[in-house]
Amino acid sequence: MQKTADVAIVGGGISGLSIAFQLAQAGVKNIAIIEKNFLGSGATGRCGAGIRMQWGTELNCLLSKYSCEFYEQAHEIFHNDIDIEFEQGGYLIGAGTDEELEQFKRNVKLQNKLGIESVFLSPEEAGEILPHLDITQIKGATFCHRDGHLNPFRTVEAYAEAAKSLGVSIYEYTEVREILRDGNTLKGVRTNKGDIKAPIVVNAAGGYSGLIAGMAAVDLPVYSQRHQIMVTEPVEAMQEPMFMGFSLNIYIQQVPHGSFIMGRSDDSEPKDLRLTSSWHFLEEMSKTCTTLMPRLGRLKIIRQWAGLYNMTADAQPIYDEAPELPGFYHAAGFSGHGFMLAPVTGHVIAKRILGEEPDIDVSCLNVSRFKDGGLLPTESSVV
Amino acid sequence: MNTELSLLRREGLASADDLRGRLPGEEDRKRGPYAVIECFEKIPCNPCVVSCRFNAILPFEDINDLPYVDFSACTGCAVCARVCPGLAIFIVDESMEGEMGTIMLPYEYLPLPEKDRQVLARGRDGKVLFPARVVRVMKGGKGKTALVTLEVPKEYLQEVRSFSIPEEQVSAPGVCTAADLPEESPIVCRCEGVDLEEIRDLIARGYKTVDEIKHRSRAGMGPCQGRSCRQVILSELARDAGVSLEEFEAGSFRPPTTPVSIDVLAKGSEEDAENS
Repeated sequence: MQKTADVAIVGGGISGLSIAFQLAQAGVKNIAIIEKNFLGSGATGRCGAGIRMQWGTELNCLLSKYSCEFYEQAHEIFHNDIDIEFEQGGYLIGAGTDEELEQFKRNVKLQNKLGIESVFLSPEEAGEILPHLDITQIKGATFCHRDGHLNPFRTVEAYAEAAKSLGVSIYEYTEVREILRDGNTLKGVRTNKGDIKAPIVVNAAGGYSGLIAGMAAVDLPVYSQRHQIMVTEPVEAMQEPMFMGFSLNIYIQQVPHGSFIMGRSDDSEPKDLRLTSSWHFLEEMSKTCTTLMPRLGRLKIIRQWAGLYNMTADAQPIYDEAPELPGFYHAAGFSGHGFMLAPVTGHVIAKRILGEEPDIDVSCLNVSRFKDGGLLPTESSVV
Repeated sequence: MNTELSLLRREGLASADDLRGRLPGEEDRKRGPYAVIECFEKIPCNPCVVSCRFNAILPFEDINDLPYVDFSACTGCAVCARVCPGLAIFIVDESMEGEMGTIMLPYEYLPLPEKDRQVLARGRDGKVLFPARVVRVMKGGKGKTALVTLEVPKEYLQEVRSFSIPEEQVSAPGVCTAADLPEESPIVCRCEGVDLEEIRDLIARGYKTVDEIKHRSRAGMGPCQGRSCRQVILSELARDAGVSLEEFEAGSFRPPTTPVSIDVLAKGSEEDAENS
C-alpha cells in the first residue's frame, strides 16, 4: 500500500468515488480511496437509486438537477462502456393530503422557474401514467419525465473504472482505524494495512461517517438510521415511472430487470448501525403497497434488506471542512439522498479542496449551522 | 430446542431420518424397479414432476416443493433421473432372485465407463465401498444425464450413490476432448440465467466474494435466493484463491426464506390487529 497521498478518501461508496473522480479529473494525481469492505457495499449498494429533480427548496432542486444532468451524460464523462441503466421513466409523486397538494403546486412553480420541466396532474391524469394506481388514494400529483433511476452496482463500477483510469488508487477490504493528527495538524489515516500520510482527508463514510469523525475528534452532528427495502419477483414491464408519496410514505419502482423495489420510512426504526431486517417492515410496506396499488398484491416478495440513512437535523447534507481540523472534509449527512447527490457531492467537495468556487453555492450546508441555530428550512419532499 | 445442525444441513449427507417416507414398502420393492429421490433443498425446480408419465411423483402445489414418489405408480422408467439437474434420483431394482440387485446412477463425468468393467462403488460421503460391475450404460446428451447401472448386493442398494472409474482404466490424459464438452457454458444461477463463464470472468477481474459477484451478475438474487448457485460460486472462489471452501464466507442470506405474496403479508398484519 502507498505511504502517502495528496488526498485520502474514507469510504468507497458512490460519494467517495465521485469525489475521487472529480479531483482526478481536475488534475490531482495522488488520490487514495480506502474502503473497509468492497466498493458500494454500504448504503450505495442498498439504496433505491432514484434520481429526481422535483424538490421543495431551491437548493435541493439545483443540487439534484446538477446530478441528473451528470448521469444523463455519464457515458461521455466516464469514457467507458459500462451501462449505468439510467432509466428516465419519470417520477410520479402523489399528494396524500390537501396540504400536500398546495405544497406541490408551489413546488412545480419553483421547479419550472429553475428549468425543471415538472407538471401538476389531477388524479385522473396520474392514473393514465400509472394504470394500476388506485387514484382515489391521491389528491393530485406532480410528474417530471426526466427523473428516473439507475443501477447502483453498475454506477459504482462505472465510477470506479473511470477513477482508476485517471490514476486513483482504490484499497478495498482496508479499514481505517485512526485519523492521524498532531495537535491541530492533520497527518493522514491509519488502516489495518498500514498508514497513509495525507494533508487532506475526506470523510465519505456514509452511515459510518460519525465514527470516522469521532476518530478525528471533530464534531459531526449526524446519526444513522436503518431503512429497509423489499423486492418482488420479476414480471413484465408495467410501470415506467418511479411512484413516490411523502405523506403516503412510499417509493416504488420497477427496475429494468422486472422486479418491483419499494421502501418507506418509519420513525421507530433503530438509530444505530444495525442492518438487520424486520418482519414489521414487510407487513407495513405490504399494506402501503396494496392500498395504493392493489394489483401488485399478487406479486411475491423474494428478498428484503436494510441500509443506513446518515441523518442530520434538517435532513440536508453537510459539505464542509472541519473548523477544528483544517484539511479534514465532511461529505456526510445525506439523509437518504447520497446516491442521487453523488455527482454534485464530487463537484462541490473537489472545488472546495482545490480552493475554487463550485457552480452552486453550498455554503449554507456548513457543519456549524447546527450550533448556530442556522438550520435550513425543512424539506418536506422526503421519504 | 435442538439447535445442532443435522448431518444433512452440515455436510449435505442424508441419514436414515432424512430418507423416511422416501423409500418403498416391502410389496413395492418386490414388484420391480423404483425411483429413490434424495432431494432436500426447496428450490424452484420441477423437471421430475412434469417429466413423469405415470403421475408417480406427487403433484407440487408450489414449484419450491420437494418431490415424493408414489411407489404404487412408479415403474422405475428412469425418465425423471435423466432430467434431474441435481443428480438426486436413483433407480433401484431389487425384484430379482438372489443376493444381487441393481442401481442406476446419474453420471456427469467423461469418459463414461464401459459395460462389464469393474468400477468403485461409493457411498453418499464419497467413500469407496467395494468394486462393482457395470451392467448397463445409457449415454447422456440433449439435456439428459447419462445413467450407469451397477450390480450391487441388495443390502447395499440404499448405500451406493456414486462410483468412480479406477485410474488404470482411464486410458490416457486427453480422453476427454473439446468435442466431448457442451458448447454452452453451464448455467450456475438458474433463476437469473448466469453461466459459469460469467462467474469465472468476474473472479478473474478481481471480485473476491459471493456478495460482490451477486451485485455484479445478479447470481443469487432470484426466487431461490442462491440455494442452487451459492455453493458453486463459493467453490470457484475457493479454487481461485487456493484455499479450502470452509475458509470462505458464505455471503449474506436475506429474508424471507421463501417467496411470500404481498397480499399475504398485508393481510397477516390485519389479522394480528383483529386478534389483539
